[in-house]
Amino acid sequence: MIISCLRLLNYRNHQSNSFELNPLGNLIIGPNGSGKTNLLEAIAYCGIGKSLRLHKDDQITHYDAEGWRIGAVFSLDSGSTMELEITYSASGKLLKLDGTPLKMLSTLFEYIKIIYLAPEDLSLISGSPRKRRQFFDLAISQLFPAYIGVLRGFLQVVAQRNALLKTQYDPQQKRIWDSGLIKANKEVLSYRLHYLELLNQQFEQMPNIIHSVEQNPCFSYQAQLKDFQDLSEAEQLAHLQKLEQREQLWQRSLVGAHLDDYEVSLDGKSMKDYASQGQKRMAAIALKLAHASLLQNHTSIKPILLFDDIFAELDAEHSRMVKSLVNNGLQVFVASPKPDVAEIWPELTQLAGFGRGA
Amino acid sequence: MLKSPRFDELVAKLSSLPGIGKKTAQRLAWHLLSIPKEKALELSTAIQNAVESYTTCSICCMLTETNPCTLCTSPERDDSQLCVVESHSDVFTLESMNEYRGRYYVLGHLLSPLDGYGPDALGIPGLLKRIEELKPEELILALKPSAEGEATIHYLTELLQDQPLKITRLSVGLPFGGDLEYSGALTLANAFKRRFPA
Repeated sequence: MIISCLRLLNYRNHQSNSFELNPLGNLIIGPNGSGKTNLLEAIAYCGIGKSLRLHKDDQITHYDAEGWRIGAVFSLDSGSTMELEITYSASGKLLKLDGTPLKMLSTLFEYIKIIYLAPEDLSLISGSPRKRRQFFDLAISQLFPAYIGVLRGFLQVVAQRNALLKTQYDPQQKRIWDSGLIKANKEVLSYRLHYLELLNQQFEQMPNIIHSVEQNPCFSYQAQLKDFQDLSEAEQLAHLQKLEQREQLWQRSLVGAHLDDYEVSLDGKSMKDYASQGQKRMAAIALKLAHASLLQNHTSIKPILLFDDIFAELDAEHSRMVKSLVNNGLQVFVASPKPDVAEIWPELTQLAGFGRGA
Repeated sequence: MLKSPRFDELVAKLSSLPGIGKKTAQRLAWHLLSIPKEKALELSTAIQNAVESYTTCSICCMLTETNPCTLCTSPERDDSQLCVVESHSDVFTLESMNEYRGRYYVLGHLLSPLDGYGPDALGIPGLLKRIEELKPEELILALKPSAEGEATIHYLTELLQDQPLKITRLSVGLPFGGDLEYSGALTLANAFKRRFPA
């Protein structure tokens, strides 16, 4: 898919801007503070229905405007077009697809696949487990839209169970929510493990992206309670019984998918502990590009790639290597404050409106 | 003074109703005060009449004007089936389908620690009494598929496992006549998982 037109109204520093976008993608070159990231964020917003920087919707509004609007026209790979309009005002947020209000966010995930890459992706390898969970939850939702509902159901069970743990409950009620947790957790895990399997297969097929090692990174699931998922339902229940005192003390669920992590290893060693910054950076980029290939291969929708200031951190050789991992025919947007990025992407035309003083 | 404490009280009462926010409550309040007095008072009389004449059925906990309610007393209904629902409006919805001929029991709530609803909030003693008296063959748990609904179904199934009852729950799947493309991803995935031989 490609995005052919983007109109922004009071969206961060874009008071009223309209952009005609190239089917191959565009270079967005301009000084710091000229609104490059805001433009990419607006495109990414169309894919997930919220700010990928997890900012609140009212923080996105331009200065003292009342609300904001994103209008986008997408051309699907089948040739048909699709118009998305997102309006935010004091009365709330409204998403319309081809003029019809969207009831479910998962509908957006079914049609629009956008991947955003930025220097802070480094935290996917070396940051907190929360960052990795956020990425993987989003990635799995893009590949399997039903996962959004599965995850939401699981988190509701956790919230209910946590509320129960704060009270004087009867043991039978605890057992009900224990087994609810186990059931919902199992469902979430089946999606996560399946995704990891596909991801690792994808990595095996990719050319080697990291210097001086034999293999590409490999991802494994790290349940907060080691191998919890391999226990039988009865054993898991027994485990929750054992945890009861600690859970009462902390007043929250201490086991489950909401606490699990993913480990990235390189040649059998944890990248978090052993890899260099450069290796981590490349692994993070490769992770997102492998996800892009997965989306393309398994949903037959070509995702749109947004590179926000990625190439400032890479030398020429690594920049070319990253480019070589981008599948042909994907629409690519590259934002940078430095014009020399055009040497790596000569086929992309520069988007007007981001020059100095624009 | 445009707004008085009386106006604020009216707004507060209106906005305590489900589905009505502060803005809507204000609009309704302005509307009630601007229409002819007798029109506005008709509403309060209607509320008073309905509230005073309705009570909870002592058998099934359904709202009713006669106690026990007509659903419980009607000889036309089938005693072999007892359908457990969350709320009164669920009975209304199921009745408008005009297919089910058995009896009902209204729980009032689902298990939800977040809202402070434990087993005590569910009318369990009444349900047990109803089962004992009616001796149905089948207990149908018509509760919504959600974290709370699932927990309540699990709770009731465990509670009643020794009763000589067939306990069933409603199917989860596609709406009939709906297009596949307009079904949510989760609904579709569930329907796929629970597919059955054609």
